[in-house]
Amino acid sequence: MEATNNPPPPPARVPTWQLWAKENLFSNTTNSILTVLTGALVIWVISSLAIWAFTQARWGVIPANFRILMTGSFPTEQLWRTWLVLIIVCLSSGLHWGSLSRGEKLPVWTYVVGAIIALFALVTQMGHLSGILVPVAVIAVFAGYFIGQIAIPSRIMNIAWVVIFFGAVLLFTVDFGTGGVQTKEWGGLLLTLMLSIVGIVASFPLGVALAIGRTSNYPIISAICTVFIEVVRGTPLVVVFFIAQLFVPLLLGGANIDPVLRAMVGITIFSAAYLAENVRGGLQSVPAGQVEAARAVGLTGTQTLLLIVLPQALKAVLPALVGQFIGLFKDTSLVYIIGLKELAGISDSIRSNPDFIGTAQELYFTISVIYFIFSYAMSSGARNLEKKLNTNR
Amino acid sequence: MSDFTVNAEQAPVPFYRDVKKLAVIAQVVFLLVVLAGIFILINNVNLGLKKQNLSFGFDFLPQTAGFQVAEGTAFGVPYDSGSDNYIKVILVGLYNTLRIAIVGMVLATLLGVLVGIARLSSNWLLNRVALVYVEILRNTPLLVQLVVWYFIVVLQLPPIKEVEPVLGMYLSNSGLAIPWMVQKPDGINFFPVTILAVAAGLAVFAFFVQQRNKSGKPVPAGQFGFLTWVAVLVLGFFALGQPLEYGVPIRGNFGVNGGLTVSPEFTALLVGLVVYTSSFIAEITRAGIQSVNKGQWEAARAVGLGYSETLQLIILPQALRVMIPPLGNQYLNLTKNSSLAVAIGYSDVLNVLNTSGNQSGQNLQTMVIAGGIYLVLSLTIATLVNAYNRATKFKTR
Repeated sequence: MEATNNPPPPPARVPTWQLWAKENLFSNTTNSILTVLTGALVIWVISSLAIWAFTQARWGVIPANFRILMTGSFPTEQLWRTWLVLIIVCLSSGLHWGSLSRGEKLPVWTYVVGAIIALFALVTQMGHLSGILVPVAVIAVFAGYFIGQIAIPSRIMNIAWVVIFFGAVLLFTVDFGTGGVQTKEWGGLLLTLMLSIVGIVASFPLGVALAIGRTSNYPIISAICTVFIEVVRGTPLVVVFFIAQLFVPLLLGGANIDPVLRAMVGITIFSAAYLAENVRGGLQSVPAGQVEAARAVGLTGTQTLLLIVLPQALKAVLPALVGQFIGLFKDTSLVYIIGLKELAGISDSIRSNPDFIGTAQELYFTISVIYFIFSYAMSSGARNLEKKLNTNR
Repeated sequence: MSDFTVNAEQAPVPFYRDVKKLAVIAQVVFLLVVLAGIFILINNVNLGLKKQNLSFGFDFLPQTAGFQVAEGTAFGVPYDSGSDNYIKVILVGLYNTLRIAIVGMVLATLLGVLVGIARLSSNWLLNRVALVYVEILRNTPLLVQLVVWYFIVVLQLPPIKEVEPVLGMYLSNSGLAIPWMVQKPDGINFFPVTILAVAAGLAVFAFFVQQRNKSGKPVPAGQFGFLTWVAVLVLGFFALGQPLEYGVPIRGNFGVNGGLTVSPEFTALLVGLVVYTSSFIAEITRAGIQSVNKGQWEAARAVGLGYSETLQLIILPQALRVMIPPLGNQYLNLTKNSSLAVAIGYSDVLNVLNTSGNQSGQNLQTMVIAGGIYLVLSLTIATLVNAYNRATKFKTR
């Protein structure tokens, strides 16, 4: 008798797609209407994009101009320099990635992506030697990953990147007896990347110094830094670029400075002011007790700053710094307005070429995808790094 | 204690060991270095300009500008390229910048808040679509987006001859034309009244917010402010002898006449800025809503409020407090980003100054003016946002 009094156990919840759809898409009338409307919008957007991409778009413009999109007017006979740097960067990325993820297996999607890129390069053969060298670069990433897992401590990689940066700058300019490359010959994706990397590297010390200056107890130093930061932050980057184009040669007494260098000066000053504000946030987040404790154990003011306060401050603002770097990367497109041929500028030139009239859609679609891949990779990379650096788990 | 003072009197601290004196010396040295640097740079600029037979002065400003500006007025006063000077043409540019910035802020806020709410929707499809929207817009450069909006969307619209009006509005490759209250050619300039109305509305709003904080009683400050704004506009309209008339766009051979017409450049820049900024505002809204304690939702549901009532009356007002500072930052960015107008040829203040510089050969001065104008605009927006932030902050006693 007792058995009948007990209610039967609830039916097991079998997760089916019908149940999922009912809960997440059609839970009530409003939701159902929203689903239908959004669904219609999605189908319309995707189908018109697909129709355009597969029937109307003239994709021929991309392979025909692939080299120009990547490196601009970089001399063809000097392209080995960019390939060399690309392969070294791929190898080091692999090493760094491997050294950071000891004992973890490589996720399957990386093999798939690597294989697709290598096959794509083999099949299309866009540009100079890319059919061989792109697969080499892909293999370099994987080789680096496995070596990095066993042999390389990640601390060494931080130093290696600094060496690679200066090495790359030298390699992109210096004459080895077979003719050098001038910065004004940089273009396309190469110029975009060099502008952003030089911008962030050069603005880092300046920005940190400005942040320390602004938070210092010395009123005059603090006031000068504050005025500098606020004036630059109140000015749009385009104006900074225009002013840099006009002022930099004059400030140096009428010296002949190439426009790419002037743009780099502009982007460095602009980025430093924003970086200073981010770092200042970090400096203020370090508890006063840390400074007091450091002074109590006998560290000098400079030691306290460099060994105790700055490391904690920078770690605290790392997400903001990555966000700023992504912004800087996207902002390099503004040099198009002062006539430089980075990704946006070079696309503008290609579409005014009589051979490629009416290909604006294909070009801007392609460069948007390039910008998106880089920015998105940086933001997801930052999320991983943040998890790795988080010691308060 | 007394031992120390006695010691100090016996052997005074030398100045190079006295922290206070050192601080003063260090700052004076720093100041001198900065001033010397500035002096050398200014000297270099003057020398460089002399080499090119130029000088750094602003004498060119009262000269006749002599170039056409596609649209806009000097705050209600029409601009004549044949006789008006550079100051007036800069005012036209400033008017165009403010026009796009203010309209852009309002529309970007509306769109951004909607997308932010969609990001948190329990409807899976809707929140995924909102996520894709935000990620695509935030991860591609604004400049590329603007070029796409201008060259690929707006300029590819059908020509005005083939467009059918929707609600009296024409959207074609020559821009947008909508029915609007427009200035009569012989009427008194109505523009100051619109500024006065906004100022009066804000003042009344601020006053009643203060009253509310003092008395602790509910006062509909927002509604009072809005009513004041409308009242000043209506009173001004009749007091100035009805200087506006209702205009409807009428299609002609080469374009539309009547109503409010804006250029394709304005349309593309506005859409581009609004869509781009809305993706950032969406993220701010999402973070703001998520910062409100879950208990607030549950309590609101418990007292019988529906979803939209809870959102409007309980959640958004609390979320707004977290959202205001970053929102203010986005308004600043939008204003500064409007300078990308140069890329698509909209006559904003930077574009006009750039043309003025090329026209008069005084590029340096016009760019310095541009920097100054944007600096003033940024500081004004920052001040307004801070004031609003203070007025609506949680009062804890």
